[in-house]
Amino acid sequence: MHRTAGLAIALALVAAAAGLGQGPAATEAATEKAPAAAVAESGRAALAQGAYEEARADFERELAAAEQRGDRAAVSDLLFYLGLTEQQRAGLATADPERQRLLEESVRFYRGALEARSGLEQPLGPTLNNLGRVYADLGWNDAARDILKRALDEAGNDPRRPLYAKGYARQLVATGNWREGATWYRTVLEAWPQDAEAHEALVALYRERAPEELPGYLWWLIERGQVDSAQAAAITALKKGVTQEVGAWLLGVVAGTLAEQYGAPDRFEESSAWKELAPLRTNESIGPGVSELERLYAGRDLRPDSYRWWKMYSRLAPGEKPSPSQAFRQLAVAIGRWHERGATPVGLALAERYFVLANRLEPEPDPVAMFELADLYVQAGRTEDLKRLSEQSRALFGGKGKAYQRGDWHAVFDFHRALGLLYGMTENWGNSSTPDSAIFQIEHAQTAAEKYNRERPAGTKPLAVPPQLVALLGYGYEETGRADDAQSLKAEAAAEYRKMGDKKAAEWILSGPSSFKEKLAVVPPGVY
Amino acid sequence: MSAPPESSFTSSRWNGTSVDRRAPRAAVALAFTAALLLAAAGAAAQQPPLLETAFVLDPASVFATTKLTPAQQNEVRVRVSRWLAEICDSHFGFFRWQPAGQAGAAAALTVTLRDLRKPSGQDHVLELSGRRGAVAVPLPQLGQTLVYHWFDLPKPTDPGVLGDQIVQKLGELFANEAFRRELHTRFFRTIPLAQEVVTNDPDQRVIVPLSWDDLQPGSGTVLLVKFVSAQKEGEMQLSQVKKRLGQPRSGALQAAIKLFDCAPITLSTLGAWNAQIPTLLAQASQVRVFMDSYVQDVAPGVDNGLVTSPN
Repeated sequence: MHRTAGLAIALALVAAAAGLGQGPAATEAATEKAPAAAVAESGRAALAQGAYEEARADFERELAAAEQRGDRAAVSDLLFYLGLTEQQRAGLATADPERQRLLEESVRFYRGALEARSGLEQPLGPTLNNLGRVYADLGWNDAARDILKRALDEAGNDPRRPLYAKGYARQLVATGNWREGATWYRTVLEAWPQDAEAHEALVALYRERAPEELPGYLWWLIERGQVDSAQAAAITALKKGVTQEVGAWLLGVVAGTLAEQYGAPDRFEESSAWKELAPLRTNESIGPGVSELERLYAGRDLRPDSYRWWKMYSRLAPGEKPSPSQAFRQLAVAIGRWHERGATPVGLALAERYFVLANRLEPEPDPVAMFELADLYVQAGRTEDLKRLSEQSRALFGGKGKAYQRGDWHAVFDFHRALGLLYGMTENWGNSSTPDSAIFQIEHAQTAAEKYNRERPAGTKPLAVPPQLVALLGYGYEETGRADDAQSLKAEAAAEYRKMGDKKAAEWILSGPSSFKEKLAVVPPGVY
Repeated sequence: MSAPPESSFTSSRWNGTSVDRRAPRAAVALAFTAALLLAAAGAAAQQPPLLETAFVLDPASVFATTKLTPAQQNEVRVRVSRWLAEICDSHFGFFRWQPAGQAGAAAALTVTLRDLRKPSGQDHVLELSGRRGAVAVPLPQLGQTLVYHWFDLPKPTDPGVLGDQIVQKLGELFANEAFRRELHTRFFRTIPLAQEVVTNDPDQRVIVPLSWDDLQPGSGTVLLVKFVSAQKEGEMQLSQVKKRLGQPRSGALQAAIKLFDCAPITLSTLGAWNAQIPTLLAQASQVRVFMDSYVQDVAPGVDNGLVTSPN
């Protein structure tokens, strides 16, 4: 009985919304009514508790009253609530015909709500979203996709825009356009990085349609701080089985996430990550890699030759994301830093071994590990080791070349920074055209930072050449008879620091950093 | 009796300078009115505990000894502790947050900037620690975050620059899901949110007398309740945490049992119920409700993909 009455009222109100049967005065009056948010309080309470009959009766009673006073906004809201009531009730229906009937009734209410809203300054997104969901539940996938696109188009600053995007993504997939659907899921995750539904949908899509793209997506997720989610998805995919190369990339993702997680390395075997990974030791393709992870954490054997599996996979993951070997190096550096933190002799010795492993895993040295080692040697005044490291740094040019080819200015900057410090610490000043010299390297670090900053992705922080390296370059100029260059460098750098609001850095550069010269004294002159 | 206005619970978070992203500060008058309405309705929704955030410059640090005047140090302290309160509120909004300096905080999260001495110079690192009541909670698992390497010279003497750089480093930390998980597990999960639960027998639900609007728990949120009843220790996990709309305790958290363990009753099915539970809980002492796992509702007013309000 309620149903019949409700439909009759709804249809009458749709007609009213279209201006039929009422004079212009009534239509104008409708826009002057009290905010519609206040309507249907008891009906909403009943709806929230799943008392659908009670909710519906309440909404219908208020709908009749709203119609009487010509309050179109309230009419629209009440039709929305009636649509929602039937939609939720359909979710509980056990028989298909009943479910179908409730959904179709819900459609009629929502459509009525939309029409009643015509010309009113009120959002359409919620109604369009819910209507799209009903269409999808009815199997009308094309219509659902189109209505959800409309919700998205009309969302403006609606904070629920990512919700509409998620619905649209789902319908794009349902109508055969999984690629565009995946793009929209990523849009959702840009706004709501913690949205598990979008993440899981995207992981499922990649696993089914393009497994080789899953590692790239998971690295994208790591860049957005979703470290645990990326790790869990990678391990799940590994357990379900993937090709050898995808498996290697996924284990690379796991290594990358471990490098970003917390917890003492010496308690790795108690971690939830290891509990998930340990059974994979018997996996034919990635098992050796998993065992080598265990070995890495144990810290007893840190010879590069003991990590052959990781050495083997040096190909970048799709999307120019880190290769498994790069990820492994990141992890070795992270563990090394952990041990270095305590500053105990044992910890420092262990840290050094991790840094050496990261540095020597492949023929091409690792700039970050090399930088850590240089710092460690400078701290300890180990000039001979520093010198040897500096000699080894020639091999970095190969890597630098690759980074240049990729246009990866951050990597280029890291290379030049590490080399500049190494050559500077050993007072190998050189000149602007000699690659194995401090002047050349620091100048190129500056150029790389400028290029990176011009092209850096939104949301990432700009690169800055540390004042110490600038001072080092100035010192190099002075030492090689280029006093004018030293002066202009200092003036330009000081202006730059002032622009960044760092007046003290500007003053420090101009006044001459005497404390840095003291640091240089740890390296006796003339080692080259 | 109809439910009190939604804003009553939202505004109950207002407390001096405490952070509340859901209640604009302009809503003070509304909060007062709403509080009166709430009291009149007898709906005893409690506020979640108040936590404070503090930033400390180690007195032995170069920033405290040579770089900044006491007034400048205070400027950095105020800036960072306020920012910390805001970031904690955005990720751990199931507590109320305020910068240190006022009374009444049940617990505190402190970030300390200290020097790490090396033969070649000093690195400057941030360390986190907690306090629950009067009990110190060290957080060594969260490690140290490097702010300045020894060669990052010169160190700033401008409190604005120092404050910005510390906030930037902390921002990177809080953006990391693994860091937040660790902080939650090691510290926030050990602080009781409430010390009372009520059962709602007809609905077979458990009510926690905290305002849903204050906590805004999304799907995936799990509460842990520990109690002692009939001289036996018991605990239960609650999920499907929703806003209670009916009376009594309208606006409070209402949840389904996910796990229940208090001999002889053991339940492990979501939504399971046992007729003895209301009596057991009514007689319980030492009830403590903890946030076991928190998923913030990023889009309030959305239930299972459906928008529940037309506007």
